Amino acid sequence: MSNTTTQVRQTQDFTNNERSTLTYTPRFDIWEDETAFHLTGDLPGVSSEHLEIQYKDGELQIWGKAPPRQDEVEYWAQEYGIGDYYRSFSLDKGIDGDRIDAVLKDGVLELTLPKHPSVLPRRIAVKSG
Amino acid sequence: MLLNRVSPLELLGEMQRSFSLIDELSRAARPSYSHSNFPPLNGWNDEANYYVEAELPGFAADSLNISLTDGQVLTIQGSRTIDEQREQRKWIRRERGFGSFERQIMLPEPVQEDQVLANFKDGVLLITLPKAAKSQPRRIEVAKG
Repeated sequence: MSNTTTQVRQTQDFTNNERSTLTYTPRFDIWEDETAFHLTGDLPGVSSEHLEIQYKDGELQIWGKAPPRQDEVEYWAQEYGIGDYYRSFSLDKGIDGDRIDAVLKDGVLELTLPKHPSVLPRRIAVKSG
Repeated sequence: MLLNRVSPLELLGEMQRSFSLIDELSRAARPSYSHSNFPPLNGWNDEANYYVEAELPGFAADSLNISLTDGQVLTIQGSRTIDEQREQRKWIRRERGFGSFERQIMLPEPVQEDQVLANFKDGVLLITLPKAAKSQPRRIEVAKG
């Protein structure tokens, strides 16, 4: 439906050694409408002050820190671990990096990545004459 | 000879393809999503309480139902919707699930049903269950936190 060449491609970075060794890849939905790309990710346990999003040279990086858990605890059920979240996406040209918007609510991150005006379809007005 | 036209490499490829088909068929027969293991739960205790924690990102606190039966069986229910109605939406990737779940777990010991607390924050539900030995089903309100 879109005639632009803009694409969102998912990449994973396993080389980031600065983060905790316990790093999880959060799940994301990605969808597109006429003017923007939308990324929705599950980051349970992350609050906005522990979330870091960077966009540089077409690379979108998302770090989320879940609150540290008391180490002394002995679990009788442990089905998920507590650690950092990390995910990166490669976005080719066509995203307006300055206008990226992020909202975090109930552990869900909503990112809006507006398409750059130069890649939007331009409507041509027809003059009658 | 006609047989020579098939190179060993091609035969190997053929074999790999048939194996991946077997893989696919066995996966189809055994669904990867099961209601019994969602949400993932962590449970621990200290001297006074049992704690059960569940990861429920994007669930509204008022969509969660928590109940206790016989002082020991904890039931958590809830649902998450994804707005499909938005016009001009074109999916590129879908990894997150939606719909409803119900999960029941047996606590290691009976607890005090009338003093159970539930707190929901940043998509994580924490249920605090004071230790005891009693029995009466009771509905627990979820506090927004």
